[in-house]
Amino acid sequence: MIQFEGVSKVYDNQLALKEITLTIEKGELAFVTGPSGAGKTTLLKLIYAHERPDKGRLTVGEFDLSTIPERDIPRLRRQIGIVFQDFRLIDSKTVFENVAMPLRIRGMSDRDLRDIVYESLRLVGLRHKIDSYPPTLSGGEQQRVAIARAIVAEPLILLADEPTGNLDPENTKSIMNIFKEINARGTTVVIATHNPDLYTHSGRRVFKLKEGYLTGVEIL
Amino acid sequence: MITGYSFRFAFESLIKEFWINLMASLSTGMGLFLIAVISLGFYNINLLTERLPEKFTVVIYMKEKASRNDIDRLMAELRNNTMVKSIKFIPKEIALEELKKRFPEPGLIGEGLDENPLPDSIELKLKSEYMKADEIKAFITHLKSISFIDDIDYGEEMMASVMLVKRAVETAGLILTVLILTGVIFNFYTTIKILFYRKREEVETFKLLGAEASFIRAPFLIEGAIIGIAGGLFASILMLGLYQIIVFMSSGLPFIRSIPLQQLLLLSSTQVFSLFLILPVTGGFLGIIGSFIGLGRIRY
Repeated sequence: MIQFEGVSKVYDNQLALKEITLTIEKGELAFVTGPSGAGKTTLLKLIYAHERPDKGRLTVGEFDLSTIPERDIPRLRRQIGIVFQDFRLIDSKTVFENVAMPLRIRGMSDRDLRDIVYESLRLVGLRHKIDSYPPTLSGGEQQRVAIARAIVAEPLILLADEPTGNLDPENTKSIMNIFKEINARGTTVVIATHNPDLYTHSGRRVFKLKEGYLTGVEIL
Repeated sequence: MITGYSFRFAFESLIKEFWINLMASLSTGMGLFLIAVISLGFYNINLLTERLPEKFTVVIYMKEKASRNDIDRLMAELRNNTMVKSIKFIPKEIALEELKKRFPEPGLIGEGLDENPLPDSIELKLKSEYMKADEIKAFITHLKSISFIDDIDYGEEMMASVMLVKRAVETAGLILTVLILTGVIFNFYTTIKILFYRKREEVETFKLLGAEASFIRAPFLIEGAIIGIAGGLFASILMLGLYQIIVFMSSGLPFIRSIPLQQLLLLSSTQVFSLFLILPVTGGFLGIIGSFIGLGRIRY
């Protein structure tokens, strides 16, 4: 599903990723871990073509991201749900509107998308917050809105960048359960985190990054 | 990709950014109003110069050698010409009589002449409809090529001066129109650039969620079109006001009644009404063009 072959990424002469080679299988739930600055976010950004590899070959499904033309990027991104580290919710829009956005982008009408949005919000336990605005929600609630938005269009791949940062253990557990449920439906899930509680005893593959290098792959 | 959401997004922005949009509409309206006034000027100048030929009488002077037969043939040809309104043959004897009548002082005309020096002539009045200065010129050139015609008098110099002035006014008007049009488009360009910049976070999120460039552009193009349409309506109202003032001035004030002011604004009430359609449509069109340029290429 996702294949890195000797992929490197450099920002202003600063090495962000160096010769990364890894494969994430279809339907897998995998973790990418490492300390701050290890290259976790860069690795995810390469997958959704927010950044381009400077070297190597990266394929995501049918797309070769080393050579992907700009016009194909929207199509690639519509196959990927992303939970951003900073959530990227639109403050001036309600929770409903935020979650509905990926469906609107696909041209779905109000009538068709309503039930899908409700179902997605129910899954993250925020059905009662549909008319709220993001700034009025807690960090954990905003995180769950971001997850609801990422899964609403049933993407093939779900990327989550530090999805439990600053959350209490109870919220962390709740969010991990959501990811497992989504993964159980067949979605490939990649979670970038520096929180070992998420992946320890998960029985999933963990890709360890340090200073841009892939230092190991373990099943923990 | 234009969806119902594109319209909602555009209308929300119109309300949220009310002052920017209002200013853009008013400045667009002023630009369109000026273009409309210039266009009206063109329209009237054209109309006036098209009717110019009917003010002139064309006099065709025959050569001595012209026979009565030649003249009859020419008259028959002229009668069949669609440009000719009326035709009158003036034999040289009548011409001399006329001249004497005009200058009756004894000893001024006619004395000391053995023979009549005046030629036979044909006096033409031309029709105003279908008439253009260029057509007249072609018509006169054709007549001049006839062997038994000596000269033609049709106020050539005055016509040439009027045409020169017309061309100068048209050129100046055209340059001004292009400048104003550029200004109006630039107005949209900057307005949409500002609006796009203010929504850059939102737009960036749309892109990351997989929005096509057309999905991102659509609300801004709609917003530009609405600003343009509103500007066009504003310009229409100004035009209607100007029209009312001119109608009022030409009919209400006796001392300028003799000046055909209303004729200077040669618009029927139907044409005035159609301005309410033309100006908003033009505004909307310019709004879409300016916004499209302002948005530029959507980069991923």
